Amino acid sequence: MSSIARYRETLRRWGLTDVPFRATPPEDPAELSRVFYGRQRELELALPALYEGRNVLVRGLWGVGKTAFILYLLHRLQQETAALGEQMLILYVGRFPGDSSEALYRALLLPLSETLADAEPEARRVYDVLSGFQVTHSRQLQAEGKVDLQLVSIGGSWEQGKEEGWQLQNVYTVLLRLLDLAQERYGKVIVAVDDLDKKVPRAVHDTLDDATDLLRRGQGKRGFLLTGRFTSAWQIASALQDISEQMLGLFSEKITLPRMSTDELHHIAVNYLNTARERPSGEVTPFKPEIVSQIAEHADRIPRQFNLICEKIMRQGAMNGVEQIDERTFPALWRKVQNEFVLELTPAIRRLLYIARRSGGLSADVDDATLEQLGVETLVELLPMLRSLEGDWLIRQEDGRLLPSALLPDEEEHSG
Amino acid sequence: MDDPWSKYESGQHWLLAWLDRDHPRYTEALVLRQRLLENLARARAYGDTETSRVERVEITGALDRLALEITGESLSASPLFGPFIRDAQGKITFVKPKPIVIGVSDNTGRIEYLQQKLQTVRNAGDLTAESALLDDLGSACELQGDLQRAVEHYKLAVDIAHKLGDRQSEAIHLQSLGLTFMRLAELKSGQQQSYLSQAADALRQAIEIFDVLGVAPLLRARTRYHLGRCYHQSGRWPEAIALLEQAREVFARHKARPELAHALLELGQLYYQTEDFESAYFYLKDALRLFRRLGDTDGIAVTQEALGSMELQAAHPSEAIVSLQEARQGYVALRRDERIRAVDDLLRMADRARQVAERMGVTP
Repeated sequence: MSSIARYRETLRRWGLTDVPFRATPPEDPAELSRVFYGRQRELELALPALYEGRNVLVRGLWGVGKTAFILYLLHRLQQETAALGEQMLILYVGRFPGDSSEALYRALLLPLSETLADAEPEARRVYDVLSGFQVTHSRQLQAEGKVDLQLVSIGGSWEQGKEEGWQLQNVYTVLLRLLDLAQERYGKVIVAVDDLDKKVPRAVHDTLDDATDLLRRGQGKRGFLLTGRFTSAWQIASALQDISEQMLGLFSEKITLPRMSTDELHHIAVNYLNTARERPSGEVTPFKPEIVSQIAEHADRIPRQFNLICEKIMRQGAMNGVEQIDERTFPALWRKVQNEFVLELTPAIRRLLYIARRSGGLSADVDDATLEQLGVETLVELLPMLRSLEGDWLIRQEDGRLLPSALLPDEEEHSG
Repeated sequence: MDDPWSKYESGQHWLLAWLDRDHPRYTEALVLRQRLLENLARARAYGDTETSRVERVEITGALDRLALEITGESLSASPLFGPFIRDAQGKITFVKPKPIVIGVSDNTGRIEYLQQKLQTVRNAGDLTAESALLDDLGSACELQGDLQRAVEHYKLAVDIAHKLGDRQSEAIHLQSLGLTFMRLAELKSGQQQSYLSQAADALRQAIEIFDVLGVAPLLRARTRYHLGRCYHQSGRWPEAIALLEQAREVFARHKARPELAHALLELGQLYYQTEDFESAYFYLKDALRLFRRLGDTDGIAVTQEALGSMELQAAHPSEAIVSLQEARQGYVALRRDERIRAVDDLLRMADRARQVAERMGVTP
């Protein structure tokens, strides 16, 4: 039997059409609501605040589920507002190029002008101008009653295109005008900006500082929802971050998403598996429940890492034709996943991760001997790399230390 | 009484005079010169400390090794401080014993001596020597605390080097000029911005020339470091960060630890001001580690004061007290009374915060 045939056959025996787990959540709100679980307390805080046009900050570690949370939150906001027969425009900007307030304003202007272009000549003109830049964007419009939800992701750069004559002066003033127009048309406008984690922390701070006026102008008709890490494993830095945000006084609600419980992750696994089943069930088959708990621990109870491991383990299991992922089969599958993982790393990163593990994690108080092993004079030389590894979940923060992902196998198996 | 440090100045002057500008190790000597002059200026201004002495031993050791490798003679050999004749094969012969060294206690005499020499070279129409002497005069005036006159001398030195097309000397004089403006900005708070702006102009021009000439990376990095500091004081933080980061990267690559520690400290303070607290914490911790390794009491004290303030503001008074106490010890050893008073204020606040936290049963 060919590999693919065995793979398909195993999935069929498991009662699944495919391996449903994904590290990143589905962007489609309907699909997302099929797998989303938990965060009730946080939803109860955020929903009324946004409905009233207040600003909400959602923060948490990388992979903790901020994007899933806000997409689900916006979906609920859309449904519940539509059920009341009210109007609202909800804009979600998933990513945008640039690190400045000007870049943020342009990113907001693009979907806003596109939405209003049919009826407002100024919006049409702005949209035409912005289309002259070297950006690409994807847009999904979901209408529910009188509530429009627009999901936008912008790539490329704000470099001017080759055509001459593209001018957009006073971006901020234009944005305010279009927001006013949108407000006239929809009554309320909610703007969500996701993925601020991907920006340099200093740039995020500067952008927020510059955008203070914009964020304060809502007066109950406009609410902003921002997400980002905005927190640090280093208590001192984290506490100062808190104080600084309080001083800005921009957010009515600041919601910190904690790691999920094993039980919540178990439910998420059931939800994902049900998306690939003909008939929903409350089981985690082909996993044994104990194995799901074990994976949750390996994933440090971070949803993105949990989904990633589940996906990889299931693929390995399906390729190897295992009947069930249990105590007997899991160790070998786990080793294979770990081996695959380590092979994808560059030697420099592999070395760094093993040194981090050997020294019990890297911290700001790292000793000279460890730095010597790492081949650097100072830890700050490694900061950009560490932040990028953290973003890729190869390294995680715990009690002020940076520890390698559980996916990293024991060193002796990879000493070569 | 002679200034105990003048012999170092004479030694490095001699070495630079001995080396041709085209010599492949000329810029290396220049970097050491710059470090030595800064060290001496600090020692004269704030008193000599164990840290300064350690750094000076390191710099003079490096100068000595350089002299030994190039000339076959150590700088500590007394005849080396005198004038020499170089024959066609490059062999040198010393024509006089060590010249009279005029110390800090007789700086007025030193200025007079330099002015006499200046007159002589002017009469002879030797512009190269005039430019070098004007730089020396600027340095002597700085030493005397007459910064305005120092500025005048450096400006003349810059003009002459520019006329001669001696770009390297022009940049060196510009750097001296820039650093003097920075000192003026520290002392004359009423005109701080104007002096900082003039300092930035001079340092920026020096960097442009150094970049065109492609001088040693460390020399360029040091000038960037100074311009970064200047921008920091002017409130031009993003530009300051960019320059200091460039300097830090070069210092780290060349394992120039004292410079690296100072760049990290400056950047740590900048990141704190720009509210990038995570970076600030890492940079200050790295600076502290390096200062400890260097045994730099002053560096440790300043860094611990910055960390202590940060911990106090973050409501971690116990950690703040530990950091601030070490800062205080350092300042006591250095007799920096003003800093001791400032740290004492912070310690009192930290102690009160700790008592409140204990009463409330909070243990941050």
